[in-house]
Amino acid sequence: MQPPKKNGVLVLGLILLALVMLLAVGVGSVNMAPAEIISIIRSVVQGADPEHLGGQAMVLLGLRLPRVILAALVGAALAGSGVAFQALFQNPLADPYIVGVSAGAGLGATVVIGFGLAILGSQVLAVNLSAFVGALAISYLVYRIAYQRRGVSNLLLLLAGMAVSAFLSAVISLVMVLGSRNLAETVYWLMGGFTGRGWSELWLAVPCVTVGLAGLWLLRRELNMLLLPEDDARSLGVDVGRVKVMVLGYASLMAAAGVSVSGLIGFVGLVVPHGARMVVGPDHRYLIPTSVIYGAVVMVLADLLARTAVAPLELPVGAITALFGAPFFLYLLIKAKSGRM
Amino acid sequence: MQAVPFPQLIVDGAKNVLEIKEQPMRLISLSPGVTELLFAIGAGERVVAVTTWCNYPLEASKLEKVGDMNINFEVVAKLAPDLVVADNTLQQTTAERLTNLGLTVLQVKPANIAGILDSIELLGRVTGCLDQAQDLVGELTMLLSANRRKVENSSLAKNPVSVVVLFDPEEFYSAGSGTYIDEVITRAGGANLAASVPGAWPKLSVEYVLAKDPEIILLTYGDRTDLTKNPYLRQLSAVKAGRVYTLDPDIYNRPTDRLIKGIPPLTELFLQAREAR
Repeated sequence: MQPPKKNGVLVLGLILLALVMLLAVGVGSVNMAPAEIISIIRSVVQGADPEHLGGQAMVLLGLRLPRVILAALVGAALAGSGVAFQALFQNPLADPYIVGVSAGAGLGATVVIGFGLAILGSQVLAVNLSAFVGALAISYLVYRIAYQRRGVSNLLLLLAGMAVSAFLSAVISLVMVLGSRNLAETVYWLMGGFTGRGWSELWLAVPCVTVGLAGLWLLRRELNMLLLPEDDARSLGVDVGRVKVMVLGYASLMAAAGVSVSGLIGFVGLVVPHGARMVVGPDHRYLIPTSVIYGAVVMVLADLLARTAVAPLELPVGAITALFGAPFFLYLLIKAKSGRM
Repeated sequence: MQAVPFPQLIVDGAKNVLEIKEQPMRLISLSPGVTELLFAIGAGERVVAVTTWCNYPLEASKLEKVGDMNINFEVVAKLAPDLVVADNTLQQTTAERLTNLGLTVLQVKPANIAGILDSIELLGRVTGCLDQAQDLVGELTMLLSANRRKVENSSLAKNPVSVVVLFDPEEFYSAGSGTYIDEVITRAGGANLAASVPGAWPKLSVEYVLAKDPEIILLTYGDRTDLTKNPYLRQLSAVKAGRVYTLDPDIYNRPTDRLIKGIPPLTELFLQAREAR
């Protein structure tokens, strides 16, 4: 595909994202026309106290708006992280959870919910922080295990990630049984979703995702080099070992932020980069922004579906993404196969 | 109506300090028990939404639904309630997120009989229905002491009937010590077999039930025929003698005034079982 066409895909993605976010902000238990949304936002900008604007304003400003922004951020983070891990492992089957981020976050959240802990009197803060710290700690542990004198071994990273995840799943099950008072809440957390989430999660997600995406973007040329055999990359003057560690760091940071504020949402980080690569090719100068933008689109849509399909009940977003993601992934595989033949 | 001054500064069952600025006119209940209590003290007309589980009284079941254990925050916010009322089963993160929206969340703690009475009084105070609430508390207190005298003057005082409560006839989840169901059984003149098993809601083994061979089995789901299907449970004396009773789960699984009013009938049941032997 020619660069102008690739830019066209990007612009189309941005337009789609804007439309989808607008739709998601307007639709739900209360539907709001764009004019109403603008009038509420305008009165707040003009200094009105949101608490006195009534139920619609509370839905819009307290729930809908931050939730849609959060979903877009998490979608972008997971897709961006997926691109990085797929380059790192030179394998399109890698996803953001491959180095144990999800298991670490799961353990962190399960401990806090199961034993009813709180930080500064806030359990929401405790769950988010504990999941985030757990995710980062476990990915660092896996990285240390995989670290050799010659650099990080991909095979060890993969295997250590699997083993640590399996062990942590067992610990999570035990904590859930022992802290059975809040079993249902833990189960819902693990299923993933954006119910009730918003401002109290954005403070964590915004900086982490910004830093992670900016870091990956600055490494876009080096990421392209990672696709070459390591010796070729070295001969082109790339410090492969250092690049791998940095990519791992940024990708884990984003995955940790994403999973700690929304639970385990699968397939977005796997399918979106995969699909994007089929459209714009493997060049990370295009692959990163395309994946990030469409990842956001997909997540906002999935969350919209999750909260409107059987309203007033909400479905776990992780179920929606798997329901559509898995068949789509198969479709991509079959398409790739027939294209090659 | 007794004049209850607003604003009020109260400490709720979760030990949160709340300021109730004026009499709340739009209430949302997040638990079936709380819904019943609000209607029982005459605040029912001001309840605007409840959970999908709230089926009593009938008026409550017709109100707008905000979800079940997982509430839909948008529906709650849309209705702009003055006060959201829940009990001690409310998830802490849910309480926090509602408070962050600027809503006032009151949590009562009907963990035992005294807690139910305290909850009624607290709900009466914050809704401005203190008179009716205190009348109800008085009525229930009299009922409790009358029943206590009845138990004390019967054979149950020295020799309580051994009882096992099973929430279902297959999994054998029961109510352990410290639960309101345990207290109800004890006050009715029974000895709760699950009280010696650790945990608030323990899962009993068939072996344990067989070894203890309770005089009475109380089910809140299913009936005697479910137990007779099992070749071992068929041997239990309560099953053989037909002393398996199915209780209305809406009364006995909810910490409300109806639960307290359900104690004397249990005492009757226990006395009948004792006489039949």
